[in-house]
Amino acid sequence: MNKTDILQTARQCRHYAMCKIDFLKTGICPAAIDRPFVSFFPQGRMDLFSGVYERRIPVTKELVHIVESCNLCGICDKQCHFVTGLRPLTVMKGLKEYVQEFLDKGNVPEESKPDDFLIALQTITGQKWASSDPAILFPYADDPCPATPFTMPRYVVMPSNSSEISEIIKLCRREEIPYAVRGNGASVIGFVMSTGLVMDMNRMKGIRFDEKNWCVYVQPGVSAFETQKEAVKKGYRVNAAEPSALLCANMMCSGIFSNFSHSYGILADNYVNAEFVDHDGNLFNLNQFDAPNLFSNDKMGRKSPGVCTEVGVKLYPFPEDEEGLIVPFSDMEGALSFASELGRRRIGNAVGVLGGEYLSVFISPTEELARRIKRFFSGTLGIKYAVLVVADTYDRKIIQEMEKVVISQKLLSLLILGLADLNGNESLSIIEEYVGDREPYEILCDGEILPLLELLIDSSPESLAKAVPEDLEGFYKDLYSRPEMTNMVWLSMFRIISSRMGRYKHPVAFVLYVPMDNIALIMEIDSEFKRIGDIHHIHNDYGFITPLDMGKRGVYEFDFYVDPTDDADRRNCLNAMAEAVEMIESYCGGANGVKWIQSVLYQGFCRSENLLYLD
Amino acid sequence: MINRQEEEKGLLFITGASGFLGSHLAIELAKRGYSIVGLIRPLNGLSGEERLRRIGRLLEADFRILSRISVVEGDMTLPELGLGKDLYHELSRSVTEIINCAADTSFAKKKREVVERINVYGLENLLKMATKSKCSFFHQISTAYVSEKTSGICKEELTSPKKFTNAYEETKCRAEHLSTNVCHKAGIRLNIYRAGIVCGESRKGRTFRFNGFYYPLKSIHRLVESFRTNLLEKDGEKARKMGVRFVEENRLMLPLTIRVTENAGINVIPVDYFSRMLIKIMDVGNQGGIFHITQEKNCPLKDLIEYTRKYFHIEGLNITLDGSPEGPIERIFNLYNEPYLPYLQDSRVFSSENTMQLRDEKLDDRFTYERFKICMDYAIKADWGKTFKG
Ligand SMILES: Cc1cc2nc3c(=O)[nH]c(=O)nc-3n(C[C@H](O)[C@H](O)[C@H](O)COP(=O)(O)OP(=O)(O)OC[C@H]3O[C@@H](n4cnc5c(N)ncnc54)[C@H](O)[C@@H]3O)c2cc1C
Ligand code: SF4
Repeated sequence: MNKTDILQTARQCRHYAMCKIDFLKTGICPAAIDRPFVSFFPQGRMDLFSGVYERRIPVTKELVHIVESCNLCGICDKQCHFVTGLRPLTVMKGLKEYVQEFLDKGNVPEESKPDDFLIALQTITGQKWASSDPAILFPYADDPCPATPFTMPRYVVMPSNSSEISEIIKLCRREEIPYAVRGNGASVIGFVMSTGLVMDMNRMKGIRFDEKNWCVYVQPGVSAFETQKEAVKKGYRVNAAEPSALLCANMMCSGIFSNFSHSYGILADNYVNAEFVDHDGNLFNLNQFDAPNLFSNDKMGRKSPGVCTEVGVKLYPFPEDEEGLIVPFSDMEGALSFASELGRRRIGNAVGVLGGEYLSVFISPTEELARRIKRFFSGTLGIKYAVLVVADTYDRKIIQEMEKVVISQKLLSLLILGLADLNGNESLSIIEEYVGDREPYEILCDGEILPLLELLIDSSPESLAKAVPEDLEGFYKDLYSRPEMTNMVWLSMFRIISSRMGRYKHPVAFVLYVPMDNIALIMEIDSEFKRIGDIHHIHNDYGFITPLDMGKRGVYEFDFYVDPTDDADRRNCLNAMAEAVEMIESYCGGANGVKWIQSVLYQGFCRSENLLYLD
Repeated sequence: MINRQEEEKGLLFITGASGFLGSHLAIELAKRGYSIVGLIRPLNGLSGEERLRRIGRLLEADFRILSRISVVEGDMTLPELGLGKDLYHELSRSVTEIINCAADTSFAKKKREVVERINVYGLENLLKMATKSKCSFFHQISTAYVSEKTSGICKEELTSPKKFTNAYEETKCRAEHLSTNVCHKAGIRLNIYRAGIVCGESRKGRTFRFNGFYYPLKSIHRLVESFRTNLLEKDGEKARKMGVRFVEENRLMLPLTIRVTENAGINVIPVDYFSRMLIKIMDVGNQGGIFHITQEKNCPLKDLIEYTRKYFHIEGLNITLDGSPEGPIERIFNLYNEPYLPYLQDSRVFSSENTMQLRDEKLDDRFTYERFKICMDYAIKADWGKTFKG
């Protein structure tokens, strides 16, 4: 691969931080274990390649050290391919080659000199945990959102506890250095940039269970994935969203919403207590009588209350007979009515109405397959929307009575492992060519014909692995031999496939809280988003809706997709975003129950009622 | 009875000239020297002209014949048939006969609106043109299945059923009444031709529509192929679990029992038989009337099952008069063929006195194994229509 191709790969990094968690049991990048600054992770190295290749940063001693710490083990290739289809190993090699060539030419790497502020930071945290080296700073300067301006910080620091955070804050105030707190940066909308200091929370990884009180306390460097993993080991579950999102960050940013919010709620429903360091460097927790009132909601927005240093999130029991199922629909109205009915009847633990785009993209290990599967699901089978439900035996029985047609866990596993064989499989013409009154998916879902489908569809880890590049076939075969990889309950809890939504292009997500009793309004908003996306030539699609609070409200996402490396696409997306914001504002604020996620920015600890039911 | 050959052959306007029946008919008429204007909708990026050209190629109609068919692009469901004022008026002035072959033959309820739009409202538009034009003879293509009877004799007369098997039959019945009323008032002679279930040409099996009679056979073919592949190319365990295996002489045991009624049969006629009979009736029977272009005797379903067994080298394919329990193979067969199942419970026969009176040549209408084989050979070669893009 030549350097320009490598650059192209490097620039496509989505910054979702999936390489920071061990979601495929490959282990994480060994080079980042010692000093988990972003630069040591594959994500950071992708940026560093662009940085040096485009001569935006010099080759420094730190850069050489970062480059040398990579042993070309290839873990990132597997992880990243699973999510984005990218192959970062070529970039890692390219970076090594670039630096080697630089050194071979007799060049001497620069050494950055610490200034007083850095020395003060290092005094607080220890030398290795604060830096002003461009090789450390650069990966903290940007993200793929078209609205994010490139913002190079002057310093990055990784504190290890609340008192260090307190001291850092006091130092910043004294020296008038602005700061931003950074989890894993997966909010990807420019919130974690600062011209001054970026505080990376990834050293604070403590997890403490208080099982008697159904709670787990996590420090601000703990991700959703890690928390869920530990909780499941003990027989519990937490309400977690993006696996790479740090729980404290997710709470701070917007509060956590997931398909499980159907039963576990959002915002303050999710936690028991939380601890903070405020902007004066003082500690407080939310059970303190004189703590700031974070339960209230100000729809005009509010400043961050400080740095969250611990959150106690709720633990939930879950029945062992839980299973996932999918109820397919040919139209949005049917799917939304059904989902809100599930809300009203309190059926299922997790509910999400997915569009054809999400469904196909999530389950497909490559983009090409996702496109084909979308055509197969939407075009051939007529599945335009799918209601995913995680439910116990009793609830599944009721669902079967409500909607006769469901994709059972067994069928879904068959379909996922048979994806590579689904489209263009001649024997499935029998379904494709169906001309009767049923939706073609009804035939597919008919439980009676499952044995026949098992025969018709070449479904196995080997078969699925045929869809990926040859050198990854073995890896995918082993990966998909693990039952959890097709298990809807596990996938809903650990969500390792949802970031595949960024594989084709980066999604700019618009999240709204909507009244589920006004489906016509939701559909109107949805078609407005679509209209705006279309006129600005931006790939766009409905994302998902999860019913909340007994189906009274729902959390809804629509996405505009942008190629962050394509200037025209970025421009179009920015125009579309501006128009979408105007449109959203015209729906918000009235008595119609529509709220924008912007109204909970930095208010993720507020009561859900204050957001959902107070105008 | 006036013999048409003595009359001046005027200008024929054929709607649905790119359809299965319409194209055959147009080409047959062109061969006999008629001047034809064919109404064709552009579709899937193909112009009307191109669609006809492709069909012509499939049916091996040479250029001189095709050149006798001038194509106008339009859509029956639109005012003025979507032709635009000038062309519409020009045609109205010159057309002397109209043959309405345009139809949507879907059986699904969900297609009802489209079926009705073409078969009834489209016809209304066409009849409007007929009444304003020089047209003196209107030919309406219909189906023999416009009655609620599923047994006994169906006569060549208008029917007024209370219920129908599907929207196709219902709209075709309405279309018969509509054309009768309008033509009667306007003094236009009307022939209604009721076709049985039309299959490919008798000698080559050529067709590009594989619905109707083909549909259940296609599902059996697909199943047979899948089971064979499983048994030959894989370990065959899944096939055997469903009772599917090879028996002697490489025949496949396919346990599939199809529910039918006593004496059930279908009335299958080759498309060339249909067009020849129609032209005959047009030529000599120009007094107006209803004509069944059907087999004298149905092809019994048990014969069809026998043909299927023989052709596909299968055993285990049976018929039953009662509802035996469904296994996965029956289940998919029944689901897939749901719209066609009523026709497996059908033993009605069609009297065809009007047609027979006019038939001077002996057309062999028996649906023999040889005919079945010709149709299947062609269908499989054409991958049930997948290879044709028109
Ligand atoms: C593909 C994708 C899908 C997503 N789906 C969902 C979803 O379904 N549900 C959902 O809830 N979210 C979702 N998100 C959003 C994402 O999970 C949240 O934005 C989350 O906050 C990201 O976590 P992070 O650790 O990367 O936070 P960052 O991006 O690092 O930070 C988010 C915000 O929190 C602040 N912050 C971080 N840590 C602290 C702290 N300790 N104290 C104070 N402030 C802090 C930051 O300054 C920033 O403003 C999705 C994101 C992606 C990329
Ligand atoms: S190849 Fe290098 S960057 Fe990738 S995971 Fe291995 S050590 Fe990390």
